[in-house]
Amino acid sequence: MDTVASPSPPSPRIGAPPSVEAVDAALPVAGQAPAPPVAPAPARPAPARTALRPRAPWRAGPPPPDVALPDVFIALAGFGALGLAAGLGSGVVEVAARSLPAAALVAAGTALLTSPPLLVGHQLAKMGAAPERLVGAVAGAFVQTGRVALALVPPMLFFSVTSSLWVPLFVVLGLLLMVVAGSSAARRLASAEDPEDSIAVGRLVALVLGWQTLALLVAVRLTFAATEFALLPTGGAW
Amino acid sequence: MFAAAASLLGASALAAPAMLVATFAPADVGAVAALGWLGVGAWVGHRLHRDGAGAGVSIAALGVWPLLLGARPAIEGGPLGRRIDAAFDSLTEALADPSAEQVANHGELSALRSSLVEADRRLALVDTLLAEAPSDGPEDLRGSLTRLRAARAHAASEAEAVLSGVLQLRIQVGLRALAGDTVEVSGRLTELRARLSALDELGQLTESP
Amino acid sequence: MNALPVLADLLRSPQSLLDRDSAELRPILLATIAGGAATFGAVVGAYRGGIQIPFAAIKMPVLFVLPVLLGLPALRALSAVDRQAASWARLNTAALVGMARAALLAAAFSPVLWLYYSVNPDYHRAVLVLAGALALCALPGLATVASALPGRRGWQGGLAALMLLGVLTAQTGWLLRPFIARPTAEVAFLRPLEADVFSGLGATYGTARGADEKWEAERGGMFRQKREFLPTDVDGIRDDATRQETQ
Repeated sequence: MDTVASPSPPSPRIGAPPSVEAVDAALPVAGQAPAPPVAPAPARPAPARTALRPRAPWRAGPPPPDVALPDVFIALAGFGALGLAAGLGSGVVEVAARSLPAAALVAAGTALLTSPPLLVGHQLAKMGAAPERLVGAVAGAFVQTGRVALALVPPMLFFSVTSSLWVPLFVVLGLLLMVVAGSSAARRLASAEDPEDSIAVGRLVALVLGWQTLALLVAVRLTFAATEFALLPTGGAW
Repeated sequence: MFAAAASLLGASALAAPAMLVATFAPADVGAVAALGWLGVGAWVGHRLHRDGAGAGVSIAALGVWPLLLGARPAIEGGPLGRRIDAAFDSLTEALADPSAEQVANHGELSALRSSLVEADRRLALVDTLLAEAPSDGPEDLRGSLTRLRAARAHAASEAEAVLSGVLQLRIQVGLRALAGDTVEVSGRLTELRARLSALDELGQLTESP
Repeated sequence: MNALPVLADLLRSPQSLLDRDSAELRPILLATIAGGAATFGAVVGAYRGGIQIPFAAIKMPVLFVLPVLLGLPALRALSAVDRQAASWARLNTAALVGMARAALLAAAFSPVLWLYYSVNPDYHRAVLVLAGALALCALPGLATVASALPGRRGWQGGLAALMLLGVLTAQTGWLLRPFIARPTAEVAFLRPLEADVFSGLGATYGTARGADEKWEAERGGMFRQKREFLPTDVDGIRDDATRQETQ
């Protein structure tokens, strides 16, 4: 069984860590076969007082799985489908057709335009994570948000078809997606850093806040341009 | 960077079918969508009826077929069926906790579960064969049955051990969340799958004449 | 399988049903949803009486099911951000259990509603009481669905699920109206698409409070056609007509 190398603050849910013997005794008896051996974990040094505690919200973990190209396309399709579903509410098919690429380009454009400043700022702040992990964090957040966007298509389509609420609902869902993207990206960026480095925590907070502010402004600007493009057949009216 | 370029290309490519739809959209999109929904519902209802569901459930599938998807077919006769479901459901729930981190992906868990389910099905098949086999017969048949029983016992113990390993993993996920242990959960899953691959020996034995 | 223990578990401990074999539970849950919702619908239709009773009984199960069908993928996706997603099998079972629970509660609440409708309340108050009763019965069902989602079950997640499914239920009810039907209106199975639930409820609330405002109901969504209700300010129209004659 794994060796618990250092004490940690008790979890409000789990309580005090059980002993190895108690864990083994609590397992159900499984036939006559002995329990399979578990590889012992390498001992970790006790964390310094100024370092992050293991249960801090931002702690390093194993590198997340690489974002695959099909995932990116699915995310794009999710954003595009949400735009299309919203555009159908206008009652003009051409507006709906234009809304599809417009929504996808807002999402992709925000990610692409704000990634370079993030990388540059990260290097200027002399933080430790590899640039590939930062790019992976942004891509992972993009993919996650795209999946959520795809899942929001049925409610959006429902309101587009049955009411005139497509504009306010699309705005609300857009804000929701921004929150999802921001929180996912922040969590992934934090997991890329070393939890033992307490100085990096402060810089990370500043970097993430600044980057997300920039991303919000860029997204809003791109949304105005995309709206203008999508509503062109109606002369800008909705 | 390649993914970024692919994003832009994909966004542009999405516009093409949208323009096609704008040009050739059918007059009554609603009717087409409704027909499509009912068509899928009829197909799902037919599949459910074939799998043993009642007429009421099959008819209800016309309207609510999304809610009837994804149900795991009951493992018939397998000795470990329900325990496999319970163990993996509890492990999935533990891994889903934010404190547990993303230490294993759904694909790894699904692969292990599929292997375990397959092993359980084979155990069920062998149990059926052994139950139906005559107690008296030629010597070579009795020899084969003895070998089959021994292989069945070995396979069952291995499957039980893997199942215990899955239950232990859940505890280890908790220990990791609490004490920061660096248990390689993903590697542990691979280890369990490798142990299950030894059960292929049973499959080869049952297939031999 | 005996249905009575399942119905008891629906009310006492719905979580215990999530771990059981869904193939055995499905017929009972579907029958509970259909029967419970139809009973509630019939009582609602009894306000108007006549053909409105079967009309409402047929539409009410759709009101219970459609919002969940539309909102379940979104709930799953939102709960799965940066964590393992709930399995579709478990989530679908939770959705069926949740809807069955709501339908059972609605059926149990039907006598109370029938009692209130039997004293012939004002139409707008009847609509508001119906909306309140639906919310009361749906909340425990929504809680069951939310409990099947993985991750920390904080109040934010529960609130988001409630808002999403609540809004979808409200619009679905608007789409399938009339359930109660005005006493003087012609009974129809469905009304044309007009406006949306929020403006409709706002107008109903205002009228229930005594406000006498003209409400313009536009045809909403993809099928737009402007239509005006009869104005209530008859004196205002007479003044306008007089003014036009003198000009």
